[in-house]
Amino acid sequence: MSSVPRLIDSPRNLVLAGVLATALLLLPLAIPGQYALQLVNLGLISLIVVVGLNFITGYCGQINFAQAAFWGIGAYVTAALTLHGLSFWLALPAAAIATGLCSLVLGIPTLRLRAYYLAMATIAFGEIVQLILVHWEPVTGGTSGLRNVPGVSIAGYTLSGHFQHYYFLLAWCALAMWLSLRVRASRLGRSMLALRDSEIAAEVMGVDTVRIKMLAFALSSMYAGVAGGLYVSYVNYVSPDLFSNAQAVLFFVMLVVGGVGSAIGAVIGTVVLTILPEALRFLKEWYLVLYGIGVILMIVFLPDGLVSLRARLSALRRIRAVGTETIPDAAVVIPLAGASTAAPSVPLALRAAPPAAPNAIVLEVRDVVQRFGGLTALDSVSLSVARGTVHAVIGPNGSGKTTFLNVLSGAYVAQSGSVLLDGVQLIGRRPHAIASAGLSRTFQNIRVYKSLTVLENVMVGAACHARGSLLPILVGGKTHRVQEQALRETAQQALAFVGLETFAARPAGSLAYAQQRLLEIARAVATGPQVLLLDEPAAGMNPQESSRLMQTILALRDAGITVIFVEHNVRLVMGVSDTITVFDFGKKIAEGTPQQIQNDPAVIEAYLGRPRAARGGDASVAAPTTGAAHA
Amino acid sequence: MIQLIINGLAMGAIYALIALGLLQIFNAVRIVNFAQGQLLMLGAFLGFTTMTQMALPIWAAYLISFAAMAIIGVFFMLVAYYPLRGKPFYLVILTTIAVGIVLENLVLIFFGPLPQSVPSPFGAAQVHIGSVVVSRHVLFIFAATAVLLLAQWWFMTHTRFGRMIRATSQDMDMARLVGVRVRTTITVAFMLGAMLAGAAGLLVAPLFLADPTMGSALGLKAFVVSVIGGFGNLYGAVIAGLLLGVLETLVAGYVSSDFRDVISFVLMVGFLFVRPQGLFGEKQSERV
Repeated sequence: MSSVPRLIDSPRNLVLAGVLATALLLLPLAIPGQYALQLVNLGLISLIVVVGLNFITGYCGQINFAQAAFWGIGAYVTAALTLHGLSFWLALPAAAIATGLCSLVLGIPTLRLRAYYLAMATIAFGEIVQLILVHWEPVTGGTSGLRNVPGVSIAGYTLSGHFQHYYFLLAWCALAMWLSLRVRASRLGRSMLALRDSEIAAEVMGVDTVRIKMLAFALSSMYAGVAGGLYVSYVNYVSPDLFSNAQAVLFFVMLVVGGVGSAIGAVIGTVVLTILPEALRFLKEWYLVLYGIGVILMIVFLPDGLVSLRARLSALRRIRAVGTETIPDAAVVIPLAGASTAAPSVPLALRAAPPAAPNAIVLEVRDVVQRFGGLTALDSVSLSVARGTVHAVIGPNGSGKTTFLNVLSGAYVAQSGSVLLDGVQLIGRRPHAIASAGLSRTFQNIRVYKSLTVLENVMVGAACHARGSLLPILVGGKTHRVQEQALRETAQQALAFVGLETFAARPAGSLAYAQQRLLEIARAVATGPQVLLLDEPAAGMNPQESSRLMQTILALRDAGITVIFVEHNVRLVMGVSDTITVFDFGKKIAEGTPQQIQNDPAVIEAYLGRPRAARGGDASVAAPTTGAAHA
Repeated sequence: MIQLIINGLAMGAIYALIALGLLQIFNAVRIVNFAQGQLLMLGAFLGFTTMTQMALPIWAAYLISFAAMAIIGVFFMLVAYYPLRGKPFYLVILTTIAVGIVLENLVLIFFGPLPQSVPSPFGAAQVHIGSVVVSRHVLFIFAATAVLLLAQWWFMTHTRFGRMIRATSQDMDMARLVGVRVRTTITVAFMLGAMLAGAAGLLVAPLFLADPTMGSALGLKAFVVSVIGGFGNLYGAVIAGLLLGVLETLVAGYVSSDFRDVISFVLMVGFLFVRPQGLFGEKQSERV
């Protein structure tokens, strides 16, 4: 499960992999005729394109319709260079670089915008590349394309025939799959899946989502570029019609039909959609009509692809067997306050690093104004948070508490004012930069990464300060292994801290509600924050769970982490806070110790309204009805 | 020169109309419809069937075409959007593409690959203004675009249904809670989106014939125009459409017609780089 892709983590899977490898090596002997073997070879090339597409679409959830265009660019660059006498082994990297550069031009403007912009830009790009290939005759040969493209020679021996090419292409496919699975198992892959599940939740763990998407897109395009180079040196001919948007859609369909986000799904989808057109040849012009209908039915009834069939079947079997076995109830196993003998304490590795120049005030907020259209959600808010304290922010609904946390964590950019963390200005920074600076958070509406395991969720947070290039992730090596091991250990400690260590291998989405809240805390703690923001951490927790949470918050404070939290649970607020700030209608109306706040007339008025006697003749001022619910 | 500009404006008005249909659907459900061009193509072929093949009077042909587009819009929503609401958006986009593929190939099977001519309500009549010759059909396009833009704007801002559509797009669950019949609202939005595409098809076919494969290129223009105008902004799309039409015609006239479609792409990427909110759009902000 570490650097070795998870596929081969048990002896049974090892045997399976061996059988599969043998079958693949013997396959050409079983294939009847040259035409069928050529089809298999073309399928292998498609597979490389689709496994590439899986980076940006499967892992990151973005739509890329430029994969056929990148494939074409790879093919034409390789063809043009080898026709000018350059070796295939130099032309292929050139093709990959060319497609990588194209992906930058498309990705940089679109990937910071909403997801459909990439879809539109790439489909337009596909159309343009087609036009250029047809019209730029001196280089591309126009509609007739480029002929007599030299084949591949390895150490002086030139590959010829479908049989030899099969093994050559199979090796490339294996490499493509292996790299893809390596990325998936690394912090890069975890970041990709995290941002697919929730971009903002990935950002506040220090993931630069734009950069990661760009990286995934570049990988996708380079896979397609390499596949193009392999294609043209295999068939020795290239013409524009193959690289149409219809082909791009087909690649996309292969991935979706197989199962988005799964390299195995990519294989299944590619196999199915390579064989299908051949098997259904008798349909003639009706094929494309049925293909379209098939895609719609597939998406509606099996949106997770063919690869999800197995899980569905085993789920069915489990439902049938449910009468005979007892399913362990997750909620019972969670260590509660009464159950654990010792109070939780933050492991040393997670403790906030002491700042270079210790400052009594860790977070200084000055005159922050946040407007939404005509509504002023935060009206010139200032407050100071002392290091190593627990600071609660309370107030009626709509008073600006969550907006305040959103400004601090960078989800919103305030119109004016400043937020200084140890003297460093946070306003204007993106959330991932703020997380790196030492401020992380949890969310009111839970945002765990559902497609990752519990441990992987926390490892995303742990990688907040991890640096290093792409290369070690792709090729492995000791530094990468050591780094992954360190991330895993940090994550395990953070999980143990909140009492979730026994759930490490479970999918995060399968945890109970309160456990998901704890998981978010563990994830944020793993970033090693100076300041931790908790947005209604006790919401949905029962009294036992919130008592345990109280201890957790105190343990965070004892470890030197400053906690700022928004909460409606009065017992929790009064029990753990050193200071309480009260908001009403976007303004700070009171601040002080729990005792001071409990007796503050302005606070009482904000929650319960003015006493009837004090209201005088002004009967139109109604008490806010929401107050009763919190107090 | 003036002649070229007028031709460009006519093309631009068509682009604007396709974009208006695209935005009608987008502004209701926040989904970019990748089959908008194919819906337009259907409109063109409805015109061919009713006017050329069945030789119906123009008013009857237009009426039947619009009614058919409305039904197609409802069907489109039921197939491509409704079963997938709340699912990852790439699935919805892929189903719209798949519907586009089905429509295009059905038309290819039933009408053949050859382009078909569709008459204009005004025949080939022309108007001379000084030295410039303008066909009455082009004037009709301008008038129709202006009327449809105003009607759509009025519908969205001044009618109950328009407010319901805007409420639905903001927050579907909340809209449902305050009594908006969300399914009906979405259905109306798709109906109108398809009818706008049909109108664009009926208007463009007399100029460029009805061609089963005309949809994808025109659908892309709708994206470009919407991005330049500020995605979601109706009058932005119209102004951007007119600008793009003129620019393309001028480049085709003075430089080269081979690369006229490259301009729109370069413009779109350029805008995304420099001003992603388009000419008239607001800056995006994500809700947390």
